Amino acid sequence: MQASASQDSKPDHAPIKGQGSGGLPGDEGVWFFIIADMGMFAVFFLLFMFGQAQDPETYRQSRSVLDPLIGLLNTIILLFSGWWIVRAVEAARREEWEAAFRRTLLALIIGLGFAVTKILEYKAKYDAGIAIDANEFFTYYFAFTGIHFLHFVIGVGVLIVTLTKLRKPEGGATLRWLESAAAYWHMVDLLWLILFPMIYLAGGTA
Amino acid sequence: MTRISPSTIAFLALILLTILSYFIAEGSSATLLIGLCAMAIGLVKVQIVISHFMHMEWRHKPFRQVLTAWLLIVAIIFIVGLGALPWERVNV
Repeated sequence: MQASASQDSKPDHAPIKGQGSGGLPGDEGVWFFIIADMGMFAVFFLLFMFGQAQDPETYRQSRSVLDPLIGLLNTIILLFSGWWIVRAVEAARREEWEAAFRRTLLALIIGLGFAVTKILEYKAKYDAGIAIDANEFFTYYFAFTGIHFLHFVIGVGVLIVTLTKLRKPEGGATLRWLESAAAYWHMVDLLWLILFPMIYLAGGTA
Repeated sequence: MTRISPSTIAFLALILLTILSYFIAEGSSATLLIGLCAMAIGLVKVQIVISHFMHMEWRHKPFRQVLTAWLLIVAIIFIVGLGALPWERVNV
């Protein structure tokens, strides 16, 4: 380990080339997966917007049952977590592995807040008798946020593996893994940045 | 003097935009403009994440172009989708 507490306070703005091919951060395969996944979610967005155009009143009434404050909280949690993983990558690029470990751990702990709020939100819907078959809006709501949540859970697993790798860093290979994990984690964040306004905000509430 | 890193500036911008979109949508009645504003802010945030969190601002052109194309397609979906809503009936 080359890191120390004092190194953690160094500035983070030196541009350093990514470890993947052509300067791409992380593994190229992960980027293909990310793009394929984003394509799938683009189809989800299309389905939702088409359904909303067909039956706007149902969507408006259903949206009014949701709590946008929880959506806001979830967004802020994911952004905080994403920021810490960026900082972890920045530290790893300077070979400050201890700082990278701490920052990844922080990203994971903050990120777990998303799971807590999401489970509480689902429970509130369940207690109110709202299920996936309530209407088309809630079918999409549960399906899309559920698939997103599945991506989040996979991301948590990836970050846990990343932490074990950061415990015994192996230079470029560990950095490439961390960059790949970070890219995936940002995709989870990025998709939520669209889901939040689409489901909770745009289109009108009661 | 300590410089603030670009990723931190991007993060602060993302938080501000998130709070802004929440208050724009929550504090207003449903209109096409509000819906478009909320979605536009969301897409700007995605662009910031791609550029400053994913570090795709100057790297690997083909992937960058695909992500930009994705963003454009999603923007078109929302513009057309929100534009198709009968806003006069949705307004309260």
